[in-house]
Amino acid sequence: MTQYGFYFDSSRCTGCKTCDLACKDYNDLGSSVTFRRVYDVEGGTWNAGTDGTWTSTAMVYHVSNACNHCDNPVCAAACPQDAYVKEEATGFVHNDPSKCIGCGTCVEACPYGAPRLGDGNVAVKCHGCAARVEEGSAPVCVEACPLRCLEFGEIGQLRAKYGNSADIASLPDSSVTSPNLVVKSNDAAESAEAPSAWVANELEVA
Amino acid sequence: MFGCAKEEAPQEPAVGGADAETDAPVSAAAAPAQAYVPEEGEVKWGTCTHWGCGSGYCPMRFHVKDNTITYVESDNTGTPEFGGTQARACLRGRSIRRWLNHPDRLTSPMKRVGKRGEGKFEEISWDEAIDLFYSELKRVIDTYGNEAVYSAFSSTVEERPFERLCGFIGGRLGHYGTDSLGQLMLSICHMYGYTGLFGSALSEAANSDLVVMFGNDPATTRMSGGSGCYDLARVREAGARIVNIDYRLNESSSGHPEEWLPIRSGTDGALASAIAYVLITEGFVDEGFVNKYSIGYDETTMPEGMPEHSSYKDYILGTGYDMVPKTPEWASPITQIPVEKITELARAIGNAKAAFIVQGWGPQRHSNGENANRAIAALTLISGHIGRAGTNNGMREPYRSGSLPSNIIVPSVPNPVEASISMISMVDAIDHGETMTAVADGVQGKDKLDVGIKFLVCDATNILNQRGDFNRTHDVLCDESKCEFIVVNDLFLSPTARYADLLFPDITKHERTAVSNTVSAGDFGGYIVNEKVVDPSFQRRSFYDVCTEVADRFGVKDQFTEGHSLDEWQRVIWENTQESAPSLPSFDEALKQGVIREETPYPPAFQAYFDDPETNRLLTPSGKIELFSTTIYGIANAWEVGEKDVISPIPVYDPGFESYEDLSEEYPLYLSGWHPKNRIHSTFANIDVLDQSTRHQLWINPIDAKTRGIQTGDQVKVRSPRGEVLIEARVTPRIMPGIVGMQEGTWHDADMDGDRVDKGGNINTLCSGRLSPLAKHNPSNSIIVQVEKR
Repeated sequence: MTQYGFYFDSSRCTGCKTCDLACKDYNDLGSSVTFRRVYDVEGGTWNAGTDGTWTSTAMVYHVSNACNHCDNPVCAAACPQDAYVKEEATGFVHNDPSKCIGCGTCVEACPYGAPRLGDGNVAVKCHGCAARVEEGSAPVCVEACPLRCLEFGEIGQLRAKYGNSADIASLPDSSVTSPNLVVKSNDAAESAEAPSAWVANELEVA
Repeated sequence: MFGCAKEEAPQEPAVGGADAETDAPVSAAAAPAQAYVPEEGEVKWGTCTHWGCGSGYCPMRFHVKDNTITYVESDNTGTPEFGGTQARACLRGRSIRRWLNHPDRLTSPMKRVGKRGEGKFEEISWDEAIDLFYSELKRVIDTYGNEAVYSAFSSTVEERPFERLCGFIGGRLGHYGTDSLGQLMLSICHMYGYTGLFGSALSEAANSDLVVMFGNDPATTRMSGGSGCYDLARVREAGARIVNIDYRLNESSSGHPEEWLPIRSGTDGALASAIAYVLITEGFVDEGFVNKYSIGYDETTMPEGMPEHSSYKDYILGTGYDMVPKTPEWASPITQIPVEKITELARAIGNAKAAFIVQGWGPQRHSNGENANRAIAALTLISGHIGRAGTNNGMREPYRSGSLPSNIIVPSVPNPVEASISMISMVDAIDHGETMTAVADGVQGKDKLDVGIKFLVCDATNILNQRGDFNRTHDVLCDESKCEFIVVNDLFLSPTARYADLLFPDITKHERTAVSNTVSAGDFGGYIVNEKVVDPSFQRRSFYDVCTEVADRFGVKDQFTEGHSLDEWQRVIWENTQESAPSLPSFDEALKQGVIREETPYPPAFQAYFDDPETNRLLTPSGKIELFSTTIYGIANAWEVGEKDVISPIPVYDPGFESYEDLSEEYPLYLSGWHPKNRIHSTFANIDVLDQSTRHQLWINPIDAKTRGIQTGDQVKVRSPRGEVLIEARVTPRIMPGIVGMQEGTWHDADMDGDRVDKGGNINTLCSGRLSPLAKHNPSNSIIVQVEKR
């Protein structure tokens, strides 16, 4: 069995959302459903000097995340309709719209927010661009990234190349679902401000 | 379309069950029905919208089925791995089919039926439209002369068929400059000559140990993978220290907050002057080197006949001009940067092996921008970080492109009218052109205009939306005794198109044969050559075809077309270019290839001059870098300027008009704007997915938001002396206290007979229409405002 996964380099990402919009184009999504979400994580404070100057600890970094096709897909476990399957050949977690009743249980269960209720009240999510992968291409988001922040491949190979971390603030603890994801951290996420940082663009992340 | 099932029925799970707590059902089947796949058809090369985004002209691969684009991909030539180059399109290019297929696109010619600006039109026949265009143009030329005819600037198309037509019927009022960098262009030419407008490639900074960016944010303004954002990532990973000087923590330092040096907007010239003070007084300046390559640094190289103590060094040390030493202690309260940080940065520049100093085009877009941009540029010379590997001349990266001429669709012809204006003064020339002069308004080619603009053509430009003080623009245009006829050619009923008397439905480059330079602000250029991606729909026609018919009415069709259709011109232009670039393939072969890349080495800026200054003289009067410009000295003594306008022969810091010094109880906050990430200026403003991805928000510091009771997501009113807009707030520590900011380019949307509150949140409702003193260009980043919760 092959298990595919994504690598994301947060030290390079500028939050441009090209991955998101390339995905929306390929999957013909409107503005209310997003498969690949890009979070702006912001933090820090300002201090006024006695001389009218300012100093700041402000920081920002971005996290691009889609379905992580988890080893422990809690969406599938939660679905009352058995609409989810984990595909043996790829490790992709797929759902079957013909079985979906639009109850939204999977939407609430996934800590990454991967499934969304789309048109017709049917759960939809990133499918790993399975058709492209089958033809030997990468998912459309990966080939779109202007800065090459995203990679796609067999997760063991990605971990051998980039390490095992799938944790960064704004994403849930990876122990919950065992995501097939490798994340490279950044200076901001490692700074003293990181523990009190927040997602600043909730309104943009549909 | 989403959720449509594919042909095959979903397979039953092979193993596992619904009650599994930790393991999902595992299926041996291929992707089940959920995996939507767009319809595959033919894949055709084409271009993104235009290189007016600043990044370049990204090649696009259009997937087309039944004359409909189903999805797009971008450049797959070159090397995909990090380190190699591909002009990967940004989020805008990736959304281009929503623009091309947009249901709001114009479908037929129309004429105005309501009041001008009201936006009411009725469809008319092509014959009636062409007759009206011709008869009104003829009437205006016969009544007022050709100086009354004007073609507005466009940053979205290369071809200017109406301007070519004017060349055969007596001409039109010309213009100079550019919205993007007009102040820089028209001031740095006096210090460097025109060849100094652009600097080293940003990738050159990989050979630097210190990158200092003033108001430069390639992650926002150079978003293509073949452009600055990508180059900056490569530079960072090569190990250089980066200092990002800006009033906001821009996305170029995302993940790297230590790079940010916050500065009060509009005070870059003060910081640069203080850096110069430290460099000079702490012995970092090789004065022999500086005086060899420039004039005006100190008394030894001042031009003859100038006043004593008027050198650059006199200004910095306080022995001339205002007699104030430009110490870090002087600059600190202006810039709001602590003294020790200014000193540290100056010493870092002094100690660097090769500092790469670069400025974006934000610092020059202030009321003091003509002086600020030269103050920044001067640092490269006095620190010695210029003309060699790893350095820059303080300007931005050059555009790399193929060898096609710039007017690549139809060749331009000489304009018989010699008079021209700053393109930013278009509304002035409609309002009171007949009183505009060379010394007060920057009229070129004659001492004063004889007549205002009476016939305005806006071809592929949302120009009215993109000029400061929209409310004033509205009032000027609605007075039909001023501009008597307005022709607009566009894809949409844009805020500019609403003011049309006659409106034409355009086609895009994707609906005809097109040759394009693959312009990139990165390491390579080349060409994109394509036949039409899809057929034009409805009654849409190219403006070349429209102008051909008008030319026919004037009896100059043969001169205008030279016998070529628009598609045929593409081959002609290509074959003409082959004469000077013989390595190019034939036009038919180029059509097959689609994309042709050219990668040529690009030397550091001014390397030739610094290697041999006698042979490679600069295009200034002295042939050297002019820290003191005798040309500007002459202009300063001859021109009429307004209060707080400073035209200075040396780079100085002056606050300019409507600076932070003008903040008041009524307008206590300072507003600046920046390039939108999700639009090309105002193009794509009507694409819903882009609007959602990068919401139009006013950035405001938590300190300023708290006193106003504002939280992220609140609708707030922003009011300036010119007008008022509504916009969503984003409370963020990424902007300095006292400063607010927003992206430019949203479409103006107000009841102009009612409260005139702009619900579109267009920054130009707030911007001043006043022009900078020397270049007569747009100080769009100098705005005093108040913000309150709605």
